[in-house]
Amino acid sequence: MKYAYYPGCAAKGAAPELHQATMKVVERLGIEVVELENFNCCGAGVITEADPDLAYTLNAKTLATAEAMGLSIMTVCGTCQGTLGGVNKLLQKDEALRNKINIALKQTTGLEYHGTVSVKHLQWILVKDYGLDKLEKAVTHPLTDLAIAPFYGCYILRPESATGFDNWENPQSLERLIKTLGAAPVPYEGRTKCCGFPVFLEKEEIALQMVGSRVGEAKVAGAHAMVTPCPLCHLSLDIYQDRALEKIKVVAEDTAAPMPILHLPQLLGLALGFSSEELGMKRHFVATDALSEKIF
Amino acid sequence: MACLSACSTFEVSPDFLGPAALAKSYRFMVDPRDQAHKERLELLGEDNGIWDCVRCNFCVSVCPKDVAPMEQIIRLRRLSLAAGLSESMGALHITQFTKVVGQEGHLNETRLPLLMLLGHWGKLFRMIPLAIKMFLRGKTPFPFKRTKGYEQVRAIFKNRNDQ
Repeated sequence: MKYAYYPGCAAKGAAPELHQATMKVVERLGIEVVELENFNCCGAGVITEADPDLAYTLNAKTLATAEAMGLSIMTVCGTCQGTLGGVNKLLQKDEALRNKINIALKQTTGLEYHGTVSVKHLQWILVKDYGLDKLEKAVTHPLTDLAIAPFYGCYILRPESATGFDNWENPQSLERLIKTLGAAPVPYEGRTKCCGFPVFLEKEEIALQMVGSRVGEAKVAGAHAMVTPCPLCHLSLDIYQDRALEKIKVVAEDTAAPMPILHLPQLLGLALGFSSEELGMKRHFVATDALSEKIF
Repeated sequence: MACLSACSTFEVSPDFLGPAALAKSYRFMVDPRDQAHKERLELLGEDNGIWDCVRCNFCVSVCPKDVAPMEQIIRLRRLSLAAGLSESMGALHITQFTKVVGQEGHLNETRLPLLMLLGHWGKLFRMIPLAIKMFLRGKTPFPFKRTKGYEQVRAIFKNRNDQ
């Protein structure tokens, strides 16, 4: 089991703990990864807004690099998965577009993409390729006392034409992973909704309302923590949570404590026996100490 | 309407024009008989307009007629940029994000807000405590390292700009 690991900008920038936790988890599980050291940004849907062909060429470069290595791509970011995976499906389906993009790609990098690569988020790899039975056997510290709210975010689910792993209306892969680790998945309304990240710099009020709603819903449902497969959702829910607290109107005073937000590999890492320090949880804005105490 | 009911922005901001109205606006924009292009784009660029969409894709997923409203909102944004309406924060997000990636290969999350908020001193000032906290927690890599492939990325951008 070997993948070309596409870290994405956040895991190499504002969420380095995601990369740190991912490396610990894949090594422990025996998933071999080769990091794409010359990776470039997927565009996060933003470059597509400016110039779709430019975004397609940037992603084709990543896809062609992995193709030359003979490997499928592993992502750890929901937004990268939606963008890179979506472009991949488009280029696989539309030969004329692929040929057009390949002209620009070959002129500038010497690479060419033939459409043979799969792009899979670690979440999907664990559920399908690795297998939950095997994962359960690797768990050394079952998270039996934890109630975890799964937060999917947008791009790992929608549009379905770009993703296609989970049912976008009622996804279950995060819930299944949480159960496999021994914790209880918490049902709540906002698990597939937006975290507000895409508009934080330009429409802060809208974004803060979204953070407040998501965290508030998870609190009311009784979650000890939220887990997400997307570092942009993590940033949004973690670093802006204090400012969004006043937007959490539905929460009673006794549930006003901050909600720890975990990257998926951090939750996995805890169940595999890694400490919160080893998983980079000290970098979070919302303290995770109370959560760690419940486990160790 | 399914798209409005599913809209993430409308849920928290009821004055948002919404996916259906914005998709309809795009139809006017591409109608060759229409003469109000720039005026309409200026109005749509105001608060509660095209830049309030969070691109969550709900409207695309629930639409029973495959209108893909969010795609039409993105087209309106592209038309706005082409019409020179590039000063709003939403427009700056797109242009500056693209510029940073074009120069550095991947996103420099410290530089992007600086470029976007240059001149918006109040907003920039309010971000300082957050920036300091992020720096202290190692969330703003310093010095920023370009990826090894940035020269190829620059070549891709140059090739695209030359076309």
